[in-house]
Amino acid sequence: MKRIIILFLVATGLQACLRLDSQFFNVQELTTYELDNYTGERELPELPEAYDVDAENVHLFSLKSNDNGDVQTIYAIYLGDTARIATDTVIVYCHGNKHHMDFYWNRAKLMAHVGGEHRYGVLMMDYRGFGMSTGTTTESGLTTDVNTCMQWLKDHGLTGDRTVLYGYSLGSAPATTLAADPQSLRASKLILEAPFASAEVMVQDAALAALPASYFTDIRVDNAEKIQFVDQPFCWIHGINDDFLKIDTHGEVVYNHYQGSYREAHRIPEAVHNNVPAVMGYGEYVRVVGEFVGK
Amino acid sequence: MISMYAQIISPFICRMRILLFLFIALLAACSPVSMVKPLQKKQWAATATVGGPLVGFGGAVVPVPFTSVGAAYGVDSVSTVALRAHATAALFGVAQIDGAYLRQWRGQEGGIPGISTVVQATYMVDRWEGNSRFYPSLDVNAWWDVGKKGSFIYTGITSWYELKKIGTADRVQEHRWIPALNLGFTRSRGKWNTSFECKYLAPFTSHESLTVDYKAPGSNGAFGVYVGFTRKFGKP
Repeated sequence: MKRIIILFLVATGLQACLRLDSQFFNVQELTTYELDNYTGERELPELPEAYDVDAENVHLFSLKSNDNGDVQTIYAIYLGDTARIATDTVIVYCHGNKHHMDFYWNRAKLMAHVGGEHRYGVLMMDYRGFGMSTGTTTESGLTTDVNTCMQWLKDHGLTGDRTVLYGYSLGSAPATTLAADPQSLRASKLILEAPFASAEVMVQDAALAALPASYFTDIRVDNAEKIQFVDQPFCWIHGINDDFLKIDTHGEVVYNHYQGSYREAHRIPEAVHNNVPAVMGYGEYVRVVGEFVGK
Repeated sequence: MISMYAQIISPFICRMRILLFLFIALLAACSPVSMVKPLQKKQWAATATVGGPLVGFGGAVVPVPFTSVGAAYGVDSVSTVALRAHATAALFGVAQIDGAYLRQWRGQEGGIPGISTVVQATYMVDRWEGNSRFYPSLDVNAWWDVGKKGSFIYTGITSWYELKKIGTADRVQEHRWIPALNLGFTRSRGKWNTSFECKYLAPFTSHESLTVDYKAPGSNGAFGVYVGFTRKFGKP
């Protein structure tokens, strides 16, 4: 009996390093981006043709992104005229936690119509591990990869006062981080759609009890904390019926923790996690985002 | 097992459920197969349990495979103390230990069941950041003997208490009392007891707005299944 107990304790000690972090990110590898020709699952599949974009305004490129020595090739798409980056306002669109840019392509096209077709430039990227971007997704890698894209924009003449960060779902993490703690550019505005409050809120929502997140994951997404250091104008959009990141325990918490100069909230009746633009109506969604960007 | 699920289920929400159902399972695992009847005076026993709440996953209903091992000792004919360690939690770097004291208040008399209570303290601490939690709980159980070999059926209620008033992000802790209803059967054969138990966890809390796809009758709580093994040692 004594030997069994010792064996159990030793075995447990040796194996007590399981983490669920690798399960957190829902990546899917691609060998090529198909964009409009992509036939797989995607968000906002019913987006009308009126929101199509011309091929000459779609620029796919890759960058080297160095996250504390972990250098990876990440892919990004710029929608608009790259020659006008030095004068245009640009929306840096941080997508959610699913697959790749083909999955979010319709959202990017919608964004390219904010304020009118190609009124603003739009940059969307696949974080490391997503789509054709190489490497393994990490929390710090998200921020690094978005910042690398912002550095690319800066190199093309963009300035912080013409930069808007947009974070959708998981993308709210790097967007909030880079708004609160700017690196290459200090964005002038922050938009969050269906943001996380924190990994720990997710845990406690599910567990009923006040368990710490550290029991299973090293991921420390904490937008509720970081938003307190954002003083740029802030726009929050959330579906009232969000079945994944509940509006009252996630979105409202982030919104209420904001202490900056200006904030506006758009609580969308009937909308769930991934259909806010469709439920709002694409035109209304574009108008709301456009009004905020143009303020 | 997690990898297998991940290959089958791709949507984001389902992927996140892998993470989240384990959290709730951790709590549920804190109350594995119930202690119902005391050991005899100065008797030792080794215990092992497996089971957890049922969750929907990829179209299937699966129990969360949580395990615990422990030891118990009969202080006298109506009191037993027990210590239990949670093996699955340990694999994730969380040391989780229960200390329990069972007291039998009355034996069965005819159709009137025997009654016992268990006061339990659970302590958890992770090796990653040293975050710790303490949860007291109270079980009240009633049992009826079946046959003459010591087998019995039982039912009862487990009450978990969350001591924190404020959760993360300064949120008021909504759930301070987390009950579970238990129904089980213990088959006794010589030195071995085998228990089969069903639990209805958090029966008064809606699971409709939770991310985890708990399985239970109606829209409240989670249904769990558990199996426990007890090996008794020595002559009392």
